[in-house]
Amino acid sequence: MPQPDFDSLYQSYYKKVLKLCLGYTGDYAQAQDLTQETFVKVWQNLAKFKGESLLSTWLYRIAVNTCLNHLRTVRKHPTDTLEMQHNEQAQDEPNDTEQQISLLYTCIHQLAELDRLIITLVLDDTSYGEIAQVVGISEGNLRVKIHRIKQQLTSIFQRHGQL
Amino acid sequence: MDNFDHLKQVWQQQIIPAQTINPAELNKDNVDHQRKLERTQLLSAIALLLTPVGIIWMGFFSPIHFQSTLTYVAIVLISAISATQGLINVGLFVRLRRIDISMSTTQHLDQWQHYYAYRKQLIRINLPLYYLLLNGAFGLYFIEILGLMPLAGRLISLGMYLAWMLYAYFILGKRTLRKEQERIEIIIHNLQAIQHQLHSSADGNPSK
Repeated sequence: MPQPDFDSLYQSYYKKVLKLCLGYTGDYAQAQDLTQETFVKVWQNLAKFKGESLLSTWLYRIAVNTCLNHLRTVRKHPTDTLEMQHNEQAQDEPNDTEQQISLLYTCIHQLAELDRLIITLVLDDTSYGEIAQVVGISEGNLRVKIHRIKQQLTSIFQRHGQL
Repeated sequence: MDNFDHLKQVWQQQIIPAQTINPAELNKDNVDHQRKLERTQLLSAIALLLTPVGIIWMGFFSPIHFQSTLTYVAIVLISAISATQGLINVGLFVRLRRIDISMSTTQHLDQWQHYYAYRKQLIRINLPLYYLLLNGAFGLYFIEILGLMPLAGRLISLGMYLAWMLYAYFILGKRTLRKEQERIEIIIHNLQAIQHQLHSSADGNPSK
């Protein structure tokens, strides 16, 4: 199997991984750090990639694990602080779309850790099969989960009077 | 429109700002890592070069007199092996010092990639060989020393020695190597990021 090219991988997935990390942390600087950490790991392990899954699946799995490990080891940014940060930001934003995006991040951040990562991938149009592989659950189970997360997220969003 | 579709639309409207890296910061980070790598090699070299001094003194200039010639051979071997390893560390230190941050990013990256490849090859050959030779020499040394002890003493001494060697090789050694490898990889990754940004700017596409 030909060795995947790091540079093109970086170009193709940088923004997606950043969005995933952003959905997870809700904090841009932290998301950038996690994205950086993810790509360092990708670079370190690229030679070991055997092609048993899609390259994107493998990369997302690294990103998801990086995010989950981050929270387990750090746990220093309580949700309340982040929510406040977002709300303040949302109030400052003059643009309605940006306000909605910021609010969406606040809502995503109220979900459970893994749910945040799953819904971020769903919002980014990643296939269910791929998400199931990334998080390591069956596709059937994932569908049920996604259905519940979607409802939860829309209801949180509705509570903010945005739908 | 379905409520969730609305959220998806909102999500997909977001503009992720272009990745901005600060080359000065990354270079500073690299210099820090380089200095730490150099310091590790230098300290190891000093320790390994001083060890034979003590061992030779103990074997040939102290009041201790060994009965067997084999023990003296072992002392010379242990000293020579430690000194050789110390010299290898000096060589690595010199190689690291020669890596020049003032060169272009591409050349600098190239230097680190060469060093990384060389280091990996050296670790693969040098490390097992060093432990094998050192333990062989210690084996010779133990023939006389352990022969002077009662059985329990032999077993305890040998057990302690083996435990220390295994700990040094599989835990301490591996941990140190892992840290060293991580530092080199971070340096290379930082340089790749800088290079990537430079290429993007040169192509007139800063928003990669």
